[in-house]
Formats: sequence, C-alpha cells, structure tokens
Amino acid sequence: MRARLFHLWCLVCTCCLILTLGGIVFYLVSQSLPYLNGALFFGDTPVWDAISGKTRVWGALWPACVGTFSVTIIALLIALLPGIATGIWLAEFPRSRFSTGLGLAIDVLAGTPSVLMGLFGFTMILFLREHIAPAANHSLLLSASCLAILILPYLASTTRTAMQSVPLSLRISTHALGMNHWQRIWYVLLPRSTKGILSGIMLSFGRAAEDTAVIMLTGAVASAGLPSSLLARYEALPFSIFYYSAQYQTKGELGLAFGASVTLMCLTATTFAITGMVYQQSLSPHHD
Amino acid sequence: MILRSSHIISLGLCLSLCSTFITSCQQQQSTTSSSEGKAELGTFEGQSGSINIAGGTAHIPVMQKAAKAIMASHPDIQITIAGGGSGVGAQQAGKGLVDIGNTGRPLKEKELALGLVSHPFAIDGVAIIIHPDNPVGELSSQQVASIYAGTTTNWKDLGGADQAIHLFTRDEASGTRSVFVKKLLKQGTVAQHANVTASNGAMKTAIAGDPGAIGYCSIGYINEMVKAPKLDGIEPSNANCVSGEYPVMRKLYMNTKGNPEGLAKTFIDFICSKEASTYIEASGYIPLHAGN
Repeated sequence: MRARLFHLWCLVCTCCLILTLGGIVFYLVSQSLPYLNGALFFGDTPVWDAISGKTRVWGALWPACVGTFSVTIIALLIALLPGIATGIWLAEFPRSRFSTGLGLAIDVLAGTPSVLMGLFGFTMILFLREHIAPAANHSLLLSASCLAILILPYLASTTRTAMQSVPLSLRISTHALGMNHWQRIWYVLLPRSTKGILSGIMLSFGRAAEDTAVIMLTGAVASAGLPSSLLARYEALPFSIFYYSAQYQTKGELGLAFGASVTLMCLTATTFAITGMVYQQSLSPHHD
Repeated sequence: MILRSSHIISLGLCLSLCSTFITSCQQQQSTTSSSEGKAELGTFEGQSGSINIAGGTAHIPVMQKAAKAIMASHPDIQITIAGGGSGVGAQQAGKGLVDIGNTGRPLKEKELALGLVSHPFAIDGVAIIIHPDNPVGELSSQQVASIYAGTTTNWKDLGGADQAIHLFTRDEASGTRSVFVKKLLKQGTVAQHANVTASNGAMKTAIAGDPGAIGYCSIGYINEMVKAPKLDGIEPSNANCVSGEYPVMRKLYMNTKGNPEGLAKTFIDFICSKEASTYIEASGYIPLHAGN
C-alpha cells in the first residue's frame, strides 16, 4: 500500500514537471509566434548585407545571435585546455592533500553564483585600469574570460567522471603491457572517455550561452552591432531578453524579447539534446 | 547507439521550433522603417572611433535613434549603448568606463566630486498610471501621497470600486523614483509593502495586469496598456510639462568626465541640436534645445 502511494506520488510529480515545461514552452512560442520571421533577426536590413556585416542591423536579433555565439566560443577556447587538464589530474594522479584540495576548489567554483563571477570581472577591470592598463575596459574578451572561469568546473568534473568510468580491467591491462603513465592516458584513457568529455564541452557551451549575470556586468550592452573586435562591447541574446522585457516601449520590442527567448531556448535545447545522445552512447557497452 | 525516447522528444521539439521559424523566415516582412528626418550630420565628417554610453534607461531610445542615423552615414563611428540606471551611468562615467553616462536627475554631490559635467538635453514628465478598467479619472497630490504612505488602502475611498490598492514603485537607483518622491510625494514616504519593479516597461506590465494597481512611469511610456489619471485636474502630457502646469517632471542629462572632447563632444552637440529633436520627440520626451 505504502509502496503504491509512493509510486503514485512520484508519478504525479513527474506529470507536474512535464506540464510545467509544456506550459512554459507553449506560452513562449505562442507569444513570440507573430514575431517569428526574418524581421525578428534582420529588421529591415537585406539578409545578405546583415550576415556579411555590410549594413548594420537595428532593432533585431542578428547582432545578439552573433555576440552570444562569439562570447561562448571564446569562453570555451579559453577554458578547454585548463578544464580538461584539471580533470585528468584529478582522475589519474595519486590522491594527495593537494588533489583533495583541488577537488574541493572545483566543487566550490561550480557552486559559485554567476553574478559573483560578473562582479569579479567588473572589479578586475577597475583594478587593471588603475594599476596596469589604463585603457582596459568592458569587452568581449573580459566577458569570455569570466564565462571561462564559470564553465571550468563543468569541464573538469565531466572529464574526471569520464576517465574514472574506464573499466579497471583495462587499466590493469595497460600495466601488464608495460605502458607508462603518459602512454596510458594518451593511448587508452583519453580515447575511451572522448564522448564523456565531449558531452561536458557541450554542457559548458549551453551554460555559457544562457548566462546573463556575468555578461551584463562585463560587456554586453543594449545596442552595439556585430562585435567588431575582442576589445569591443557586444550584444548577446540573454541580455537582449533581459533588456527588452524590462524596457520595451512598444509591443514590437516586447515581441523581440519573446523571440530572443525562443531562439535561446532552441539553441540550448539543441545542445542539451545532442549532449544527452552522446552521453547515452558513451555509457553503452563498447562492442569493439 | 541508444536513443532514449526523451531525447527524441526533446530533439523533435527543437527541430519543430526551428522549422516553424525557418518557414516563417521565408515570408520576409519589411518592418515599418522609422521615418527619420534628414538630420544634419556634417559635424561627424572625417571623424572615427567609438563612443560608449551607459546609464539611465529612459535615455536609450533617444540614443539609439541618434546612433542609428549617425552610424548609417558614418560607418567608421561605433556607438554602443547600455542601460543600468542613473546611478550606474554617473559611476561608470566617473570611473572612465564610458564616455557618456546618462542620468535622469541632477548629479549628487558625491558624483560631482568625480569631476562630472552635466549636459541636459530633454524634459521628461512622470505620471501616475493605473489599470485601464479602473474608473478613477482624477487624483489629487494629497490622495497620491496618502496612497503611497499606505494610509489610503481601498479604491472606494477614491471614487473607485471596492478593491484593495496594490502599490508599485521603482527601486532606489531609479531616476524616475527620485523625481516622483521629490516632486509629487514632497519627500513623503513610500510604504514598505510596495512592490518594486525594475524599469518603466516592467512597471507598465505590472499595472496592465492588475486591476487594483497604482504605479508611476515616464509620460513617454504611456500607451493604451495603462491609464494616466489627471493630477490635481491637470492632464499629464508633454504639452503641460512644457507650459510648466504639470509639475512632476525632470530633465534628462548626459554626463561626461570633465568637458567633453572629440567625438563625444560632437555627439553631445548633435543630441542638443535642432536636428536631433525629432529623435527626442519620437521617444516621448521634450527637447530642451528645440528653439536653437
């Protein structure tokens, strides 16, 4: 009886979750439907002129899409090597006080609210301006660096998990073959955990793309056009949502906010779906 | 390869979203392009570089329209515009993070100490707004003060329906709030239980969705979503702000660290010129320098 009640309760909760998700998606899509067209992205600029950057796009989402993409990719490029290297260290090198401390540091970093990272970037620039580089300012590079710190723990912990899930028998075999530490990691463990690491990268991509607090304190602005250089300010989708939903003067501007929400949702849903598939694949038994 | 049904569903969901979007993309729709008046932009001739602007959110529409006109004819000039509020505008301009920091109020002593110079360019009225279905059409300043102090709590005391009054206000950094408290409440208190909204847009959405609500916003933001009752018998309108009849108004300022130079100076001169007054009017404000 008790077991059945518990089962029922779990089922009800699950249904509530699905209903909520469905409700949110339905609401966002229905609100943005009238605005989902070319004008949402390119305004009254001819599409090719906008994509090639010949003509600037006003009051539309194209610059924000490019900005989000750039800041996310740059953040990944910065965080990729340190993140994966930290993961390898945690998984493969002998447990010591240092590695325990490092693991703890990674966990703390993963739990840090993103607005703190933004604040860090903001004060960092003030410090740089006063002491080292007076010309330093809010920019794409600053945002990407702060986002990189934000996603670093995700990369490290997924890499660690992926490497630790390599079967013990395989590890013992590498010893039997007389492989050294480096050979074991490079020829056996890394290839075996590629998919796990890849899913970590995509998770980080989604995390970096949707974060608002960091970028609004470090360089995202309401109107900037396509990012012109690493040291320029830029537009980004999450910031567009924040800005237009709070500051709209016309219904069309509110429509922009809904359009940006749906675009961002599609972007992250696609990354998460691909991640999920890659992850499932990496968990399935290897037939080779 | 194991494909869980959940993944198929989530992938299907985003694919269908994408396809909706792509199909609708094809029906290219030309938006109403704003009919910008032929502005005199000759002063920007031969100049290049960037101007970074931040601060008061009420300023953004004006800055955007001007930036659009300038950058369309002078591609070497890059103008970025951010919000943040009056306080942020003054701080960032003072620290040199932006070239122009906008405020919707005069600078405070502390901000003046940063070496900021103010350039007023427009007048903006602040009006009480209520739900369009609310029958109340006129309020006196005393009534408003008493509502915001939390003394009057029901619309029936003001000639409306028997319904509780829901108070809405803006956060402390808001220039709109500071002019409202100073000029309308005469430095009176805002009750602790008032709901706080972050911007003119959010205020409007909140009021439009709550029949018992009362709030305030820029006259430039008022449209059919909300209703602006008369204050002491005076219609809150731009015309009445100009004539000085409607008292709850403020100036909008651009602020620079020291006297502006180069591109920033050209930009400020342009905003204060007669040519840019169309952008100011189109954003719902009254240009200060229209007579030039």
